[in-house]
Amino acid sequence: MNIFGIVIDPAIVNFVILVIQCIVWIVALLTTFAYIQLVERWTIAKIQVRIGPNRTGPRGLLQPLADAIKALFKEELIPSNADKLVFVLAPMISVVCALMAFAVIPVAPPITLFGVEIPMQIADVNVAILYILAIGSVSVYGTVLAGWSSNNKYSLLGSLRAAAQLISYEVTLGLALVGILMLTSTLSLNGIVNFQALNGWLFLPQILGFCLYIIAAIAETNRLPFDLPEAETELVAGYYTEYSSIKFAFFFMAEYINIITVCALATTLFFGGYLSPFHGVAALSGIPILGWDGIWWFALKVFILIFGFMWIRGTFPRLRYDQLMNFTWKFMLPVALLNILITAALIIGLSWQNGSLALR
Amino acid sequence: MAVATPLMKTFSVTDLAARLRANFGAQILDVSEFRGETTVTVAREILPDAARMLRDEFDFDQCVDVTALDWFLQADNAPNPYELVYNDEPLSDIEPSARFQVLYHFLSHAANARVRLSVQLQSDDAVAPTITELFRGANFFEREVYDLMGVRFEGHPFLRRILLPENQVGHPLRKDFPLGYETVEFTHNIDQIEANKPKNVPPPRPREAIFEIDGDVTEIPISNSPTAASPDPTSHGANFHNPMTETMLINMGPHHPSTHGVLRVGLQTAGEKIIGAMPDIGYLHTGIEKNMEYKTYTKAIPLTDRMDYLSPLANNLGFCLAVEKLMEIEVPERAQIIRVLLSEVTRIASHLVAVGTNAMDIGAVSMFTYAFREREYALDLFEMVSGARMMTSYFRVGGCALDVPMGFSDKTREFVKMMYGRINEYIALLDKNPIWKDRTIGVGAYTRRDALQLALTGPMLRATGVDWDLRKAQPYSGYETYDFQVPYNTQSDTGDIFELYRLKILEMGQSLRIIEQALERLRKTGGPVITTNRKVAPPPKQELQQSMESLIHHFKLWTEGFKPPVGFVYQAIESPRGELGFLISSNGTNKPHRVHVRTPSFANLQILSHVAPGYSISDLVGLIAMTDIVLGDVDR
Repeated sequence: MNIFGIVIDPAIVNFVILVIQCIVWIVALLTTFAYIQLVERWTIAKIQVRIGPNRTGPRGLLQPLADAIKALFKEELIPSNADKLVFVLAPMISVVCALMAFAVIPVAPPITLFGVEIPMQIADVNVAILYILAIGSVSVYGTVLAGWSSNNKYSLLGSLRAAAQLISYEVTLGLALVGILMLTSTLSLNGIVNFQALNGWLFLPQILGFCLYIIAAIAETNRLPFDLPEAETELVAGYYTEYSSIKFAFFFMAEYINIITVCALATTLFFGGYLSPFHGVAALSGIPILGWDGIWWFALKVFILIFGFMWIRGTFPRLRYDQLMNFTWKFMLPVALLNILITAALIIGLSWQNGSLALR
Repeated sequence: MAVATPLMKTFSVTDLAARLRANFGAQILDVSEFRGETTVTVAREILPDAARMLRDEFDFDQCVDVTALDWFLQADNAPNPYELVYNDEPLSDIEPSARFQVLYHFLSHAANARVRLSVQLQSDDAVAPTITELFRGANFFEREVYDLMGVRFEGHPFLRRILLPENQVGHPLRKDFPLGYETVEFTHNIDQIEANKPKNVPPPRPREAIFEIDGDVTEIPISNSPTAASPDPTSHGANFHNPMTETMLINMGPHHPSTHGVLRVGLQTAGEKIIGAMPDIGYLHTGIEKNMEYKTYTKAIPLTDRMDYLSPLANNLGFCLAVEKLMEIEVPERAQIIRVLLSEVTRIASHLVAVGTNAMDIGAVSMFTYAFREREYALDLFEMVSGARMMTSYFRVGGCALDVPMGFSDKTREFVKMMYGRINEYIALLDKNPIWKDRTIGVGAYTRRDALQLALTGPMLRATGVDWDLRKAQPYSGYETYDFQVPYNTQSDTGDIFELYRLKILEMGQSLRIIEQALERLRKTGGPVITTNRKVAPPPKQELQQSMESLIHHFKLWTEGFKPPVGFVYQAIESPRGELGFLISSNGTNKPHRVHVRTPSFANLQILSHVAPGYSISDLVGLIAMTDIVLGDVDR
């Protein structure tokens, strides 16, 4: 490849692009996390007739920065009887997994910079959904190990709850997405977005799957009404009771990045990803906003979903452990299986209509 | 007792006395009446039998209180407790013959009657028989008497200190308990203070001691020894020592977000399931009862604020009514109306906290902020009348400190109007919420029998279908003239978290009705807000400049206070949490001889170890919220 007259091996160029991309992604994610959290505090404050952060900077806009600085400079406590290695490792596992999961999500169509086409996702894996589910499973370790290594009974209870809850809800989470796979015949997120570009958003045919996915996603991210592992009024702070300083911030970060990830995934799978809602409408297509309208649509959709998460948090009481388990195994799982059946019937019905067994 | 209304039976004290005399003969030492209260003094030996007879033949189904008086060295020859030092030798040569008087208060819901059994004890043999087998609710009361007064209860299955630390020396409510060694240490008095300090104080018990019985074990065994018995007679199903299960002991509190203060609960759990729960209290014990003995009656009123700090005006009212009963003072009508009005605002403010924190404990944090938003409004009203938002001290013996200020009625009317709408919002937010229902309906179910046995009062009793409210049954301050209903459980005889929530919401509505009526009367009724008896209440300022007698009254009241006649009375009111009773004993001086407070939270807390086993930790926080305890009220 020839850049500014210098011939460079394309492999090196790709590698450099990838590194830059990773850095940009992480910075973007962390900034989003910081401000999503600020927006959440504002939203919850509004719901709960409070004022919310408004002291740091104009209208409290510098609050995340202040929080970050505070977290960094707080004393880092490790309980004397804790398993020190695991105790330190656990928040890292959590935050690394949270960041990794986002890598496969296409946030915009590929863009071209300096004559190089750059895909707007870090890795276009053809088993992206499986990858996200797998990373989600690994991140359970962070939670479980944190609770176990703290040598605190409340932490232990929190991590026990987390282990049971996350593993149970992963089943539903996975099954809720099977309908999508059946319709699109691909595991690649790019493929799914392209499918939606041709056939419309999958939200409508998969409405049941979407509901299941959102409920399971709330449970996966430990938010009200499923925030049992960190139920403040019961377990003080659950699995991260003993954590302080930046290690606590890591868990916090992981939690919010996970929320962004599940909402981004929901956007990609059910709401056409970066596609404009007016995609295919000739009169409106191609209205550029800053040149890349894909990412703005994507961000808007993700934010609307996250706002829903906030709203739910401000409204609902918390479930009890046994009710949570009953709900997933006795209600969500059968409904998820039903959704698969319905999707299958839909596919067969459509293909009969088309006079061919092959849908596409 | 029928579910709908208590069966009113004819009951007479003479009949009771005759029956007791016929049964026990000379063992019934005395039957006396004072201010309409019946006290039956019985010999120590027959106390449990007399109590059983009261329960079985006269339907006295609840032992609402057990307390004790110390008649050590009254009046003139009493030693100054500030000069006493700790020593091991008893002061028996200067003691009266029957030093301690243990009082058992019984209440019959069916007959709407109270009777008090009294037992007199020598100081060198301060042992009374327990009645915990007959009334399990006597458990906490007897432990309190043992802890503070040093009267042992023979046969009590778990007679340990309840409010004070295990290594406390002496029993502080005794009149010969040395005071004053804890004065501020300076170099000039440190030797004297050191000399007066108790010697050989045992070290404090280990934190884990709540889980075991005999004090020597410092480690908690995970599988406990099979020899030990269940520690608490009230904790049915609670078994701290089951060798068959691998269990975990969890220390919940006193620093925990949802124990509503400094309650500590020792939990034994299998996974998340609670096997045994044992409340440990006393972290907020401030010795209010002892303090009151060294204050004049008027100066004791601010101390009552500090007990149940969520309903300070109810405490003020209870204390003032008790002193008024003792002194037979008439309260002017306008003062009574103000009292009723503010008591009901207090009830709403207190129930708002109860409902809000209950919802928050179950995870609905928004409900908590909504409830507190409205409570601020109620506190504004308190601030208008008294200048303080929480520690009001507004009522005085004989009336109120001041008349209500201008604009108070309008602001209250605004509050009432707003609250009707807001209560409907709460109902909309919670009543149809499936998660809230799942978390509360049937959780913490206890029966009417439990409620009566464990001396539960107030909403906790009404949740089991007992139509009992002291405002209706034994009215005070003119409650009988107001039109309101008492919500209670008409569906079943089992209370649970949801039922209590429902009752509190309904009670708020009824309180609003009372407030509306009181406002109407306040508009029509003028006159003084404090009694014109100059021996009790100071004369108005303008009189001081004209009348020598008024000046003398004023001087005497502010320097010495008033002196009620000798005797003791028990006055109970319906506080937001249940029966709040003040037992005030006077020896004719300007300071009370003994003030005992029967607080609803203290008694209601007993249900916790009874209902908790079998539920999970998530439910426990709901159960604590259900009992609606205020730790200031529990520990005093």
